[in-house]
Amino acid sequence: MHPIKRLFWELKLETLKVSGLNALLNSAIIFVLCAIILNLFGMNVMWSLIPSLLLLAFLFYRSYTQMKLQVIEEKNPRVKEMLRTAKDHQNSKSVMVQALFRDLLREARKIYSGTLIDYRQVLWKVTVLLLLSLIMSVSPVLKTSLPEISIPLSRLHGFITNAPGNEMVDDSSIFGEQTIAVLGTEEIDLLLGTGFEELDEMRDKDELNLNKNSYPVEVGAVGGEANIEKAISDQALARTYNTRLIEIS
Amino acid sequence: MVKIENIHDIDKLKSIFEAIKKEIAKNIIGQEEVINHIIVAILCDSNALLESYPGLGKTSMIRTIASILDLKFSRIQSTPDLIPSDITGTYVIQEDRGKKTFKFEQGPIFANIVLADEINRATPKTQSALLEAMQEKQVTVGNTTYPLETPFFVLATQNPIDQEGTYPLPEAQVDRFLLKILITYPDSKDELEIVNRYAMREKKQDLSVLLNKTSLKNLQILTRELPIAEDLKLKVVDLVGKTRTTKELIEYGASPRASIGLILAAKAHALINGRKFVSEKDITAMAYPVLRHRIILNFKAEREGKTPDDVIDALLKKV
Repeated sequence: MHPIKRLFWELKLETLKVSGLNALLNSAIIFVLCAIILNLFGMNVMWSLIPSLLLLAFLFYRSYTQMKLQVIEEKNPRVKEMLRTAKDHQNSKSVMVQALFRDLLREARKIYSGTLIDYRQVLWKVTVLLLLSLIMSVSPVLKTSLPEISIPLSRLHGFITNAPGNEMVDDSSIFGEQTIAVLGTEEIDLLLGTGFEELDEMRDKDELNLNKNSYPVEVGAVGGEANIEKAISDQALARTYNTRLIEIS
Repeated sequence: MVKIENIHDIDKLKSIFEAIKKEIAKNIIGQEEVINHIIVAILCDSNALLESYPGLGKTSMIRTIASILDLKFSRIQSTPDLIPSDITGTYVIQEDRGKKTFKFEQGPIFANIVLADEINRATPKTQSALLEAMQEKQVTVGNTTYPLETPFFVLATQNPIDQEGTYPLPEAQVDRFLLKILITYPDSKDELEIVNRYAMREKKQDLSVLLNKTSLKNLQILTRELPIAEDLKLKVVDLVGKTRTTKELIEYGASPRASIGLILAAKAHALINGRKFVSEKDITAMAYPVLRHRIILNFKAEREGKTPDDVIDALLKKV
């Protein structure tokens, strides 16, 4: 290969190294940032590899396609015009051009990737990376102080829309036992008179009947069936239900 | 004596030109920029117009350069009664053994470096004879054309004062000069040195010949071969183009001859500074002498007291 063409190829390689370093640092920052966010939500941090690797590939491809001698020219102003002139006359065999190539090869020996790196930018990125790594190391502490957010989406939808088919199934953590829930549906037969006169009249009739037939007289509302045992058990059931409600709340 | 014969000599270029300037400085004090411009014009195988007040050492300067470069020097003092044959030469009758023949006597134009002093005092007919020699590197006398010896360089001078009774060169003719060089008065330090040197002793110092004609021709070839980047060429074309489009200051702009001249002059300037490529600094340095005589300012610019150099300065900032 012609020495000057080999020089341009080597210079491009040097710029590629610098671009690679910048791309690596940027994708590392993105990786750590994503890892922090995923860690806060209790998700696997390895998922953050996906965006960081994609970014790495994209940045590397972009720097490769946009790679120009301008990067070297900006960092090495002394050889800027020599490089530009040599590039425009790569195929010339003129005596002066050959002399230019000789001088350029001599000057270009001083150019290596170290001269092309923006050290301030690299230092800044490394600092950011270290800070993010520090935050990531303390993120488990942050994680425990955050309330656990469990979002059952189907229940949430039913709660919001109250759609049929979304009735509460047996879930004692919220609604309690089903046996307790049926308490309120028990029917009580209640006979009520419209006034005292009827009551009196009824009493009177009963008295009359009693007097007549010695029929026991009881006035007032009569439950379907006076069941004291059932009442006690109902009371116990109600008590248990209330207790459970208190516990849940 | 230095000879430029092969590529390895190119590395010695800077030292060669420094030695030439040092040798010139034995007789000429100061005026480094003027000397640079004259050498640029010689390397470009072109001609220069020198505008100077009297007594600033123009003749001494060009005579010194001719001595150092081992070139034949001649001087033509232009007057209104100067005729073309006074410049080109003429036929004279020569008698040989009773036979009379015409023999061509060469005029002062038959030299390597010609100083045409106050060219604006010569008549247009005489000016045209000189200008033909400049352009074609030959003279025609009668039906015979005589080629001039190369390298051939004309340094024409003009006096900016005392313009009465002169015949200013038309713009079309002025355009044929590569550079218009302005000589200014020396500063007090240089003037003191001039006084010490020329008022105290009369004899000028002997000069060494540093370059021969072959080497000079090689340098002229190397000047043309000096590479220039494409974007700088575009910059030159853009600059010259702007002289035609900046109507608020310029009545008439420069021709493509100016673009050719500027690139050539920039190449020579780079060579003198030991560079093997043209830099933006070379373009900027040579823009003024190349363009100042090729643009005609409009009335508005002249009324504002602007000079061609001011306008060129403004155009350089735009490009």
